[in-house]
Amino acid sequence: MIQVVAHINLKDTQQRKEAFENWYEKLFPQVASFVRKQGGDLQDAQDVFQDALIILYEKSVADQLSVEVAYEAYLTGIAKHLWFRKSKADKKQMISSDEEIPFDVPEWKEATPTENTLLHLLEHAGKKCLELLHAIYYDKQPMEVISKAFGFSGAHSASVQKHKCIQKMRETVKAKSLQYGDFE
Amino acid sequence: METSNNEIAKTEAYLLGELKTDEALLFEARTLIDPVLKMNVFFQKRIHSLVQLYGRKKLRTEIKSIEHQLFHNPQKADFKKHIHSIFNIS
Repeated sequence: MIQVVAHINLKDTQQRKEAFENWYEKLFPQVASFVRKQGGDLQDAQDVFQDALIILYEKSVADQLSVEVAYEAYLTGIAKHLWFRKSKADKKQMISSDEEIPFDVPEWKEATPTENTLLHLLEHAGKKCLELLHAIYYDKQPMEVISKAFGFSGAHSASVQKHKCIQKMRETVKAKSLQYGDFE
Repeated sequence: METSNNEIAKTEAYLLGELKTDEALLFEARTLIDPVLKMNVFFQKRIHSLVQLYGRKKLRTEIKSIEHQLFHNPQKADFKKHIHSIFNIS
């Protein structure tokens, strides 16, 4: 039976864990065989499959998936696409994908050293704000859900805190970026 | 503070692509004549990038934990055996 997007809420931690376990066990062997045939190793296969799950999650929470496209087709399609892209970038082999993928695969930009340093700083000196903005922007949780999870009195209070966090983080990031000379 | 909140909200809407075309153009024009606004937009955009980076890092940790369980759970030994056979790992 084909599972479609509408049946799974990936924002729910438990549903996401079950879905990821299920897909990993069922679909990773296909991706592994494909990557092996294309000259990759186990680590390569694991990397592209992890990236594909992350992209699927981001598309799902942003409501950018068509319900007609089954999760499973999406995952294997995107993993293959990512492998072709990686192979080209690594210049291991000049290959092109002749496979039709009925969706956009976003660019996968690696973090810069400055971004990694800034994130490390925020994880240690601004964790609460980072978690709040993560729930809002990355998980795209509704403000009502967020206010409950973070103990705010309501959506308005959560929104006020969001602004305070952005202001605080902006100052931290600005100060550090200028210190590192990393500002256009 | 109110002005600051308005600016943050407007910048957020701009970065998330929620402004109408004419509003977005007007906002961009304002950044050209207001260097402080331009800098604030730059750093607010960087916050969005950092939050995405954090989200991906957290999600990857979740996935790696699932991966680790699948490869190390004795009840899933067939899965590991199958994958290792694909890569000729003994």
